[in-house]
Amino acid sequence: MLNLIKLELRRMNIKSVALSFLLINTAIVSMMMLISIEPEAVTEFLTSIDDVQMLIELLVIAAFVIYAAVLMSHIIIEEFKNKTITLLFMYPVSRRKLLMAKLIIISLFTFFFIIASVLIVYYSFSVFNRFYMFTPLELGYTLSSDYMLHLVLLAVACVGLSLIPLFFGMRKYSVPATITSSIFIVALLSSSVNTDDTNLFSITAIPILLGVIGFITANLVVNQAVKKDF
Amino acid sequence: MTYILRTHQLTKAYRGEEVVSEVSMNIRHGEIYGFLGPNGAGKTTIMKMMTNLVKPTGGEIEILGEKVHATSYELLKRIGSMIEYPIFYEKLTARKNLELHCEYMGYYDKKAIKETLELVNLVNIENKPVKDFSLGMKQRLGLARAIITKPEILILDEPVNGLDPGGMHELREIFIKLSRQYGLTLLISSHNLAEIEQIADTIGVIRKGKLIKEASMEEIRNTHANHLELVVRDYPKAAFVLENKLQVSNFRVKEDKGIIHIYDHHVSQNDVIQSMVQNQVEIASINYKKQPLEDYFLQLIEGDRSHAELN
Repeated sequence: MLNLIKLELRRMNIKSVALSFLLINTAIVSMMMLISIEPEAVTEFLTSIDDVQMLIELLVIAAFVIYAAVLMSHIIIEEFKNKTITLLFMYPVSRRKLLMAKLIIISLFTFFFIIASVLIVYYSFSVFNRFYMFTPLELGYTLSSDYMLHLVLLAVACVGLSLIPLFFGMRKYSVPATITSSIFIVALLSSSVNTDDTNLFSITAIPILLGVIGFITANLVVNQAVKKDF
Repeated sequence: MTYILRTHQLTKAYRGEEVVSEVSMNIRHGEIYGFLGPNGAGKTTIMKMMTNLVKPTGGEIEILGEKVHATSYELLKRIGSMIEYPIFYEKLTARKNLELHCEYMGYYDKKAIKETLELVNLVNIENKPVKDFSLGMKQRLGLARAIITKPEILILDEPVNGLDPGGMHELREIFIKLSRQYGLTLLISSHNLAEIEQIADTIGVIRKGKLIKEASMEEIRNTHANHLELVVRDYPKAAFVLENKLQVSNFRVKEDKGIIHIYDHHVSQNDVIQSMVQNQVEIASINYKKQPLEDYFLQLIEGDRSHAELN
């Protein structure tokens, strides 16, 4: 399995993935700062540390759930579309393992990207905040272990829900369907439920439920591909 | 000689409709097996079943006497294949494509890549991305990929399709070399007899999913290619003479033209002339004819077309 993952990585363009990661982080930090320039926005969104962290999480999750769909398009959907998957399926390796290797890569990347980005954006923002005083909040450098646990759980749930678009993409091996459905999921989750700043993400059960649905979907898709004739 | 690859009553049905039905092929060790049939006859499906891309709905495949399952990976390692249009990771270079192939196949020999590319006459292109290749180059690279891990069986689906005559000739030379020098067994499909007639040892003909003929080229050449063509006015009498005076039974009369084809090799031209003259049958002409194999196979492949039209 490890070998399969390594081979899969060799076919990917890791440099461009790393570059995307950096660019997305830069974009999110810039966005946070743009929001902070506007005093009205600060009073609405950034009244407490919790608010700041939630906004960061929301932006990071939105970005990387969609980015997971992009990765998925590259290493799964396009392989089926270009029929290069038939090449892999002729090898003396089980189809399930081949597909699992791909899913593991996407999952690990998404997990790592979400946690790393939340931390990167949070610390960057708190450093900038010290210099420019966007908010009077004291954004401490130490994060509680409770928060870290919450972050890990959130990342796992996001890994799961980022797999849901696979279902839509694999129906006709369509890249646009994959990415559109991921955007749709993100839009749905981050929309406000009511006037105060809760959204579907802040109800913990929902991302977790969707996460579970995502893992089930992925399993379903793999089962189908294993049985299929090419 | 032992069989290296056999199928027993191999069947594949899609939604109840059989595209391959009860095909039993026998491929001998070291031979070139020409797999002939019109487009859509089921050649590709059979080859895909042999390479584990399509699962049979009935029957079985046997490689080196062992039954193949979907998880018989050790057996699959011994097959090299190129099925349909050669597919590559287009953005990667030729070398990288081959490297990855070797890794997935569990074959580690760094020199193999260079040697194989030389064998198929692809030089100085290893570091070019495959998307810049012409069809002929891709086909040769596909062949290189199929043989790089030194398999025992090579399954090639229409390998010379779309190549110019020079390219076809070159590939044919390579096939012969692989078979005669390296002892590989080749299964080559084609819809065009001329492509494989010269190199195949055995021919299997498939039509509408059924294997309708499997015979060695030698046998086919002997029994069907040469015949004596006799043109007479009084063909009933000629037929009578042939049957009763010369004891020839293997002949066919084309009544409308007064032509008789004699397939029996024991009777010579002289014998026929002599007995015809003795029995006062006037001969318009007599000569040896070589029926092109093409006609024979066309007959086989399109055999029941007239039948179908009647229905």
